Amino acid sequence: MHLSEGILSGPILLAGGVFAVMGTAIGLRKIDQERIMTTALLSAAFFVASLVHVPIGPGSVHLLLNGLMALLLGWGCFPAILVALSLQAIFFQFGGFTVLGVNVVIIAGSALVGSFFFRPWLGDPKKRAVAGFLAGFLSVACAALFMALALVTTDQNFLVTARLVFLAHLPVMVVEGMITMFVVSFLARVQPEILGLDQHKRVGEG
Amino acid sequence: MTLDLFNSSHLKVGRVFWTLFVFFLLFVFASPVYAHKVHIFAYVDGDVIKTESRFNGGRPARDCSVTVQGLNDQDVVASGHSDEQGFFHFPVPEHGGDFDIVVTCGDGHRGAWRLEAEEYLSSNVEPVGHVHQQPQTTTLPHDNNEEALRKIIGEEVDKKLAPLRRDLARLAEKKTDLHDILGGIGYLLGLAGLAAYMQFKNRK
Repeated sequence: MHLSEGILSGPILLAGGVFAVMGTAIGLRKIDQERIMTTALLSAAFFVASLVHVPIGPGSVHLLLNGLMALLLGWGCFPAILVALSLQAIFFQFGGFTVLGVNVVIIAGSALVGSFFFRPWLGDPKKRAVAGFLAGFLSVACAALFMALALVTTDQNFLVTARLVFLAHLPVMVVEGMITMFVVSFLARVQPEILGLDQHKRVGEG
Repeated sequence: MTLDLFNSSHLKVGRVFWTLFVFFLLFVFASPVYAHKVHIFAYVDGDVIKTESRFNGGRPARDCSVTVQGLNDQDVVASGHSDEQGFFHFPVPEHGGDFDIVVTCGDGHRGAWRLEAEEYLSSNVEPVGHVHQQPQTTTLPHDNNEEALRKIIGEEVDKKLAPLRRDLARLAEKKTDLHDILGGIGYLLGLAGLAAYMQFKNRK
């Protein structure tokens, strides 16, 4: 999911950088004192998750956890992903610094799409598990779509690229959906504050 | 481990959860460290240059486009697609020079390998236009034999060295190790501490 250096053209890199800075600025304002450690831990989880290779399907793909991050952090996922991607570029040589902005927008932006649709369902105990799964699934699907869009500017055919990236990530979507579902259900039981659920809703859930 | 957690009756469970969450990812999954960066490396085998493209962890990069481009003149010397095993061969370039061998997979992965002239010219047929040996005017049979022998020995040595060169090339790939992972996590926790400190100061 990390685009490598030397593939994209200048304007796309620039646009990615601008959007990443905007997203990060919004995100930093949303991270209050209570969210700092959650943000850092999810950032750490994302940092490590990229090493978890999903050995199914045609491509070489790994976990992202971006859907989970956006569900728990909202816009705060932008700075979290920015920092984690920078560290991955330094330590693992994934991606690179010129493509950092584009990669941040692909991963964090798509995660926000997933959480935009399914975060409201988290309050409802009946829909919660489904919401977790779909948010995880959709976030990776969107990331694949964004990635294909970014690659349009190269000389590649959009449909071919989109199909390739989408198929390669299909197993990851399912795995991410399940992980997100598990984590969300677990957190709702043991630590609902992190999900931003109200106390009375938890009581009502019994 | 949010701060509000300290008021929470779920203190222990929450803390255990987060700790497990991070360590689970760290040690269970990451132990055979896999990633998805694409690597290409090249080595000389006789009169062809073999390239092998792989993702970290050894999966071959199939059907990725490989381009061999001159470092100075940007001329594309050879191009094609990697096969099922991630291999792509091309003949040793005749006019010498350094090359960048670039592999690009459709999904945004790119890797490069620099092949320098001395690596493939050392023992091979003299490249055209580079005849800086003694002028071949005295074509005695003895000289010819020696020349032929040199060529044969050169080829044999190349053949024997090919696996070694391949292994050396493979070793050049930087592996992700636990230090990198722990280092990264350390940075993140440090940043969190810094952010918490700044907010604490601002609030005062």
